[in-house]
Amino acid sequence: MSDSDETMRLGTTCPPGDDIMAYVQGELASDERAGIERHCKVCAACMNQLAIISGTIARMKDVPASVKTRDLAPDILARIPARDWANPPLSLRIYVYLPQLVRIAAIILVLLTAGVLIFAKIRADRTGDVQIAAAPHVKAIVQPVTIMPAGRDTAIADGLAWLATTQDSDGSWDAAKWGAKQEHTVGVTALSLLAFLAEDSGPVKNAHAETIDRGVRYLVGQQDAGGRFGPVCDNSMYNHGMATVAILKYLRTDHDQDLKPAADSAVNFICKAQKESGGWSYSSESAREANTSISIWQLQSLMLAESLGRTDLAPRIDRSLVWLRGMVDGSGRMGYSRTGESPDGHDTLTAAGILCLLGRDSSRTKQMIKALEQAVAGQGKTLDYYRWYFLTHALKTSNDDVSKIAVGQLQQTLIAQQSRTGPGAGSWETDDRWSSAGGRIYATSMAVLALE
Amino acid sequence: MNGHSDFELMDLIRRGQKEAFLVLVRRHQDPLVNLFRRLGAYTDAEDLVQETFLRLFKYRFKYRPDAKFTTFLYTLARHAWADSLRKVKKHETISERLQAEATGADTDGMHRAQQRMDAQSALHVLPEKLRVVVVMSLYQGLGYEEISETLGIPVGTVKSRMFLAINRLKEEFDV
Repeated sequence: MSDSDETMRLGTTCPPGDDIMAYVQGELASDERAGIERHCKVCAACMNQLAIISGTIARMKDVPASVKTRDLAPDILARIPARDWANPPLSLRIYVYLPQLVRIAAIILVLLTAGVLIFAKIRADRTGDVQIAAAPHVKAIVQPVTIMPAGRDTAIADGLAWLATTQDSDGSWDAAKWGAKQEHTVGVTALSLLAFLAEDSGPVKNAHAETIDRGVRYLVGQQDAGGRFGPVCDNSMYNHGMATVAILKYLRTDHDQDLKPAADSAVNFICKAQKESGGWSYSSESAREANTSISIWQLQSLMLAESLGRTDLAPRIDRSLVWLRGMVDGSGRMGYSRTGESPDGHDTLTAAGILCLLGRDSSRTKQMIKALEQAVAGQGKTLDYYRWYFLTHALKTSNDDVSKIAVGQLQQTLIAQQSRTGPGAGSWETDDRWSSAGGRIYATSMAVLALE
Repeated sequence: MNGHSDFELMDLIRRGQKEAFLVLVRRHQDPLVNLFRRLGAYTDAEDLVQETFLRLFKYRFKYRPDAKFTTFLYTLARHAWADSLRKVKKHETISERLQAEATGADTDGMHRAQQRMDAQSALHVLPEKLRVVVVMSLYQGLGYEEISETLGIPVGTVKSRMFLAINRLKEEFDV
């Protein structure tokens, strides 16, 4: 009787080779170890593989003991400027006190909540108001609505892992390989980078630093002498705006000063392309009137650059914001190139507009958020990654429960749409309205961005 | 201060205590030198260790105590290594590495030297993404979970890369 026949007779199947590998390295749980040991007793093939793996590892480990090196500490210490020890920036120092600040904030919150409850009780006792009129309000304070869809972190991690594996060696994500136009590669690469550059994941703690670095270098390599990222094409300002936002966000987290000339040049290109009205059109050379869809990427670029020290941009940003405000109708909806008009719907533009106007026009953004909440409540869940990205981020700026619930629902739907098996595991399908422009890379990038 | 944990030392460094930084460097410099040498940076290993600790200082406020310190340190080391590859834009050839290594070789006898040459040269035949997993696992003693966190890849990928690497190494030895 052959080994495999014997194995079959005993009802055990051969474990995968990498499980045997993990067994040899002591990486398996005790029950898994026991399973491998039971199996190897009756399967000469697996026993042989185990011996080969063990032998190869032993051979690899048979090298001289680790070297001891000279004391490097004084040299390293000497390379750190004294001022960096003496006076770290406030933004860094605050990390030291963060735990204490969080504790203090928690205590204040508890005291505040207790105060509100006591006040409500006293008020009810005095008025004999058994209906507890304040109850909904108190409930909102005690139990704030926080929707965090299950599996969100895993979905993001899987999405980023898939994106990392699909990056080309030159740092790009080639749009043509994924069912979109070649000329969109710069824009699609920028969107992928933005997915990796979420607000709370700087390159240091982000294990995808190499992916990010390669992508950034690719974009810089696509910049022409005039500062434009990507080829001259119908959608070149989308390419350029997205790439500039990605580069600036990277600069904000990594402070790589080598990139500053490229970033400045890109921002200057946007300045040159700005129309008298304050907005931007399809290309810097286009005679077509400005539209909000393209303009929000350029405006976001200028605002980011301003936050990084380009104070000279303030007049241009103000001019653009005046134009953008003029695109909002009486219901709080953002138009495309005229107030009240938008061929592809108002939601995406309204949401994007909120992100631009936030902190600069609170009454208008409140009105726009209300418009957005009504729009989301009245619509089904037709897949549109681009729209959902802007919707989730705009609604997250609101403290209303309606917004929080809407964000949670959108994210839950997105998580359910993620591919789980096969080579596309971790990515998102491309059957939304813009898939022909961006393909699967675009879909996955926007979905991850909407979840972050 | 030698009795302090890595986390305690990081806390002291954040508060400006240089002595804590010196202790932390001395505690981890040898494993890092060995890591870089085995990854292929024989002559630049000390420079890379210095670069890693400079990054550690730069990002001292971003280290979170909920993450294992060595994971944080090896992630920085990995980034320093990747950056050096990009900056130099050329890899030392295997023969150059072996030549450099031969210069500093010990005198454990021909068989042992040959064995070491085999292991070292076989290691450098591996693609970089497999080599780093092997080095971290076999020489740095990191578990799959920690390698996974350091490289930002799933544990299953660490396992499969390790298996693939060992098979390739076996083929190298059989030649």
